[in-house]
Amino acid sequence: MKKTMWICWLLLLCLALPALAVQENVVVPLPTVEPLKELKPQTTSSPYSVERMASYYGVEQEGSPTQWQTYQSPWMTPEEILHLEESQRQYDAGKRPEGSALEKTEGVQVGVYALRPEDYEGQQVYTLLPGRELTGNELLQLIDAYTQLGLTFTPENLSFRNCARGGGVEASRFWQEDERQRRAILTDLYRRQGTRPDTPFTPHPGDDGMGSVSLLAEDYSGLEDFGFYPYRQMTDEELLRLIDYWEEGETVEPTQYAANEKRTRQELTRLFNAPFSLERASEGTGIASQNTIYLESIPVYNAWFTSATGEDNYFAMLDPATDRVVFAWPQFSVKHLKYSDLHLDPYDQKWQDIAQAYIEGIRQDGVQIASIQSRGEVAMQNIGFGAGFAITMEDNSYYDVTVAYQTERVEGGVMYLMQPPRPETYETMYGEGENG
Amino acid sequence: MKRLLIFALLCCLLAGTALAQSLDIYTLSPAAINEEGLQEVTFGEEKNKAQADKSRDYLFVTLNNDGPPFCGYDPIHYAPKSDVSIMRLCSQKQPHEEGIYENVEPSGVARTAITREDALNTARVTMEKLGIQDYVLQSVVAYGKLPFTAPSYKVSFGQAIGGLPVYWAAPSEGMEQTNHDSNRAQIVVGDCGLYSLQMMWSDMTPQGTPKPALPLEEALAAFAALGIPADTLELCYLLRPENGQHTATPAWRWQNSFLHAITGEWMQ
Repeated sequence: MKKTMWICWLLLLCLALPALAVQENVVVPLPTVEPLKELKPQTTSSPYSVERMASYYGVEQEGSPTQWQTYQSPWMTPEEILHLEESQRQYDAGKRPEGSALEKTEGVQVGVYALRPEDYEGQQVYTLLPGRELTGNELLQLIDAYTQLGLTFTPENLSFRNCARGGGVEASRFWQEDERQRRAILTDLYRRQGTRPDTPFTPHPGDDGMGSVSLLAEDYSGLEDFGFYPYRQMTDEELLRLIDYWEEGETVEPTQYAANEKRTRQELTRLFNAPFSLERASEGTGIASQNTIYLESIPVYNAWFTSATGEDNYFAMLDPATDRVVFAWPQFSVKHLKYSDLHLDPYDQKWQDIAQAYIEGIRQDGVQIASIQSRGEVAMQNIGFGAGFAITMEDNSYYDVTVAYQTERVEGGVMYLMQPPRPETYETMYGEGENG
Repeated sequence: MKRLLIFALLCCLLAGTALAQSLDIYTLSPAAINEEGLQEVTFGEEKNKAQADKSRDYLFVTLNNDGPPFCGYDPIHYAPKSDVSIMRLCSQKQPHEEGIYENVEPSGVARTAITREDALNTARVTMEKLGIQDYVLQSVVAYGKLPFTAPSYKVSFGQAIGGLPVYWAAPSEGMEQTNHDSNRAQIVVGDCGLYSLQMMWSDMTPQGTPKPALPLEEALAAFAALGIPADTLELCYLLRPENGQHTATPAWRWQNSFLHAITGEWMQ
């Protein structure tokens, strides 16, 4: 009995001491303005650690190499640091910026975000900078945001651990494979089982470690959003919050996904003689025109399927309103082919005969070819060249195929549209045909 | 019956021709381009106003400082070819869309005043002025507007040896650095004449030991023995490395498969 008591006491001590230590390490902003001292990164081999980004920036050691002074590197340029001194003097003299960068979530040009150090390997603040020289007002915004957090902005402390610039990266750290896989599983549960997170996603990383803000794309090399992911493994609940945010509160009934998938598979068989034994790789809903310029802005179910060998892929978009595939793009493996620099006459009748026979062979509903137009010689990625054809069917559906010179077969991908590309699409792509 | 007899005779004639044909192996070297012709094709009557910039590694001639028209050629050392390019100003004055890389006219007729035949003729004249005679027509494709190019015809010629096409058909060992569109001329022609030319060309020097080519029937049998279901073959040359040199070797071709036309050896 006595022995057990001792063990209990020892256990309590073991648990309590580290807890007290953690308590002591919590960073509390000081009442006076203090320079932000970057905490030494916790040396870790964790795959979720931000240290994994060091090689991305070519920063294997402490500090920021001067040779990497680009507007996509996570620090400021020497010129900006010089200007900062003047801005600091102005700020100290009472000048304040127009607008605030602190916790900004929309149209971000400059952003400063409080972090929970326990989520970010000791980092207290994350800073977003644009892919161009900072203006005087933006320098004031940085100084002001840090001051509001009870800190002093110290540009020398900026690094890939607490800063991103100009669209150089799209998130605070890289995703790991287990997170990607869990995300795929959770997305499936979210859509098909109606699984939802316990608490909603918030854009501020200081709330719970996760966050996302929208950027002014022109200042970030076209990047529209930046994600804050903690420097530790994300939990399933956190991934669900992100999925809920990305799916924008999906409104499609969970049972509808299964129905859409079944219908899409039937359509792939009708249009391409695709095997039933395809594995669904991913699925979602969206707007057709966001995937291809050939289509109208209609809501669609889209999915990727993979053949049993994993070598062939089928992408399809189904219009749930008509239960018809409006766009599909099977891609067949060409790994077995070498590059070939054969250049033959694309207008030779034999290529057209091969394309015609191919379409007649794959189309399963008896619809016949109405017309075939040559697209001349077409470059085929990695395998050389071939003769391209635009084929319109009697039901007005449309296939785009290329017969490879080197195998005299349709190779690569086949594009399908429920209707031929609209003339106005060509207008958009090519402009008017006048020659003046 | 009479037709059948004529067909049989023709077959014999063709087979006999192939049988009798002696072919050599050729060594590649950068093509000697007629520089005066190159300038004439690019600048026409104003060629004397063109200033040569000798500071460049390759010939670069320009009429103004804005860039086009341009012509130049650069012997490529790692693969024995000459890379020739011409870009004329007139096409750039035409409206065009940037970033569009395929705009083939399905009808085969470009929206130009010139015809397909006019374009072909201009392309042939261009080749002649550059001093190139041995080539085969690959295709004439009608285009709408392309980047930096108004509606036009693109005439493509492949290099030939004695009228037989020269192919580079797979990345054989030692040929990794052979460029795409190897030994090919792409000539774009529109309403103001030549728009542009891109060409990679080699001079072919025979090794001087011509030998008779394998007859068609024997070549077909060789393909069949390899399990390749070839029904028709094309006599051609295949570019490949041989004894440390780049050579054009006579070959019988079926799709992307090649058989040595003299030794019957499997090439690829």
